[in-house]
This record gives sequence, structure tokens and C-alpha cells, in this order.
Amino acid sequence: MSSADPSLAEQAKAGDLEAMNQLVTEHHAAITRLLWRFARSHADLEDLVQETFLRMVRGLPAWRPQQPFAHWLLRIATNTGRDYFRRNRIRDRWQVPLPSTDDASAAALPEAVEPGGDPAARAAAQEVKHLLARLAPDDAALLTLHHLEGWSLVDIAAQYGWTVTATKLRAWRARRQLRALYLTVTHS
Amino acid sequence: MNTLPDPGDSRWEDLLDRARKDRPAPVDLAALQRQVRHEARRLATARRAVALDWTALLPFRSVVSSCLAGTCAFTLIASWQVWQWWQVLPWAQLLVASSGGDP
Repeated sequence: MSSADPSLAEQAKAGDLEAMNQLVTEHHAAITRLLWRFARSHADLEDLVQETFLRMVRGLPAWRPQQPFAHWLLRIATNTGRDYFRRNRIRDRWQVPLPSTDDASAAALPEAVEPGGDPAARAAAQEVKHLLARLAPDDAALLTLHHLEGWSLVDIAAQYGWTVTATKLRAWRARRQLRALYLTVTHS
Repeated sequence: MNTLPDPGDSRWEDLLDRARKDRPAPVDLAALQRQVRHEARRLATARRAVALDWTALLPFRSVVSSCLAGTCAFTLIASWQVWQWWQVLPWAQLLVASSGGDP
């Protein structure tokens, strides 16, 4: 993510709409790429990106110029992604499963098929997302950032306000669970 | 990443490699900017409304006139109370005297 002009963020904080527009223009591509790792569909992605920037607007009065704006915005985006996993977990819990739904058919749901991009990469990403969606929301967010974005566990710990030790333990447990899920899916 | 257990086999790593190459379709930037502007205006209006509510409670003329009215009311009530007790006290003394010292 490119580093924003701090004066631009300060102007936006003062209520300058043009400065806000420029911030959106400058950061939307990086935020979209990051949130695509979380989103199940392009419609969800649009919602997540919009939610992130609306949170930015609401949170700007609390932003301090000593804090790098790009890092601050990135934290909003990762929290938005984690909240999305939490909402999906609650929604999935209350959703009545279809009688014929199994892993293979779930991966081929219409919402998993999105136009554009490399079809092989898209199919692989959907398969990984489908597996991650079966983990606890915080674990899914951790492994999403670690596996798909390549973040280090130290960075993830700092981003979510966890200790490094707790993050390593959580990652180890989550990967063990992911391994079991992956083996179940591949062997079935 | 190397400190973590491998979740499967080389197929898992291949899957991850392919998944990392996935890129999203671009989002509608114009619509996003419209939403951000709309939210910024809504928040600014809400903040102004809150500020106006507070200042409407205490405009300068009302503050001066309220202070004057409060001072007058306090003076009036205090004077009336003093006058009332001034009238009552001699009667109280008479009552004390007529009862042989017991109030």
C-alpha cells in the first residue's frame, strides 16, 4: 500500500470532501485486493470495501497524524474482514442446510463463480476460502492473512492486538484443524 | 511460515500458490466516492445539528435576561422570607413566655 500524503489525511479529517475523494482513489485498489481474500463473492467485496471507507470517514476525527494513515486504514480493513467472517458464521449457523449439500456441491455454488480473472486461480481461491470459512472467524482471519496475503504472524498479532505467543498458538491450532478439513475433503 | 505444520501435502502448497494469484475485478470507484461523500456530508450535518442544539439552549441574550430574572426572583423570595420570620419571631417569644419557658 502506498503511503498517503499526511496533509491529505489531515485535510480529510478537517472535513475536506476533495481530500477524502483522493484518499479513496489512492487506497481503494490495495484495500480491494486485501478484502478480496476475505470475500466470498464480488457483491460481498463491494460491500466490504464500502464498509471500510465508511468506517474511515466515521473514524477520521479520532485519527492522529502521528499514526501512519495507510496502517490505520489497513487495520480498519482487516477488522472489517474479520467482522465479515463473524457475521457469516452467525448466518451459516442459522441457515437451514440443503439436503443434498456436500463439500463438492458447496464449492460449486453460484456465488463461488465470479467473472473475470484466471479461472484456475479463482477456483483455487474459492476452494481455500471454502475451507477457511469452516474455521472459527478469528482463526479464519489469521490464516487468510497468513496464507493468502503472506503476512507474518508478528504483523498479524500487531494488527489484531494479540500477543505474538497467543497468535502462534492460535495459528498452530487453526492449521491443525485446517489440515484435518483439507484431508477430509481431498479423501472424500 | 516454516514454524507451522504443513496442513497437507504438496497439493496444498500448489493450491495456495494458485489461490494467491487470484485477483479481484475492480470495484465501482465512482459509486464508492459518492458513498463516502454522502457519509461525510451526513456526519457533518449531524455534528452541526448537535452543536446548534447546545448553543440554542444558551444564546447570549437569554443568558443575561435569565441571570437578571433569577437574581430578582432570589432577592424577592429572600426578602419575603426575612420579612415573614421577622413577623413570626415576636409571637414565638410570646408563646415561650406564656408556656412558662417550655417551647
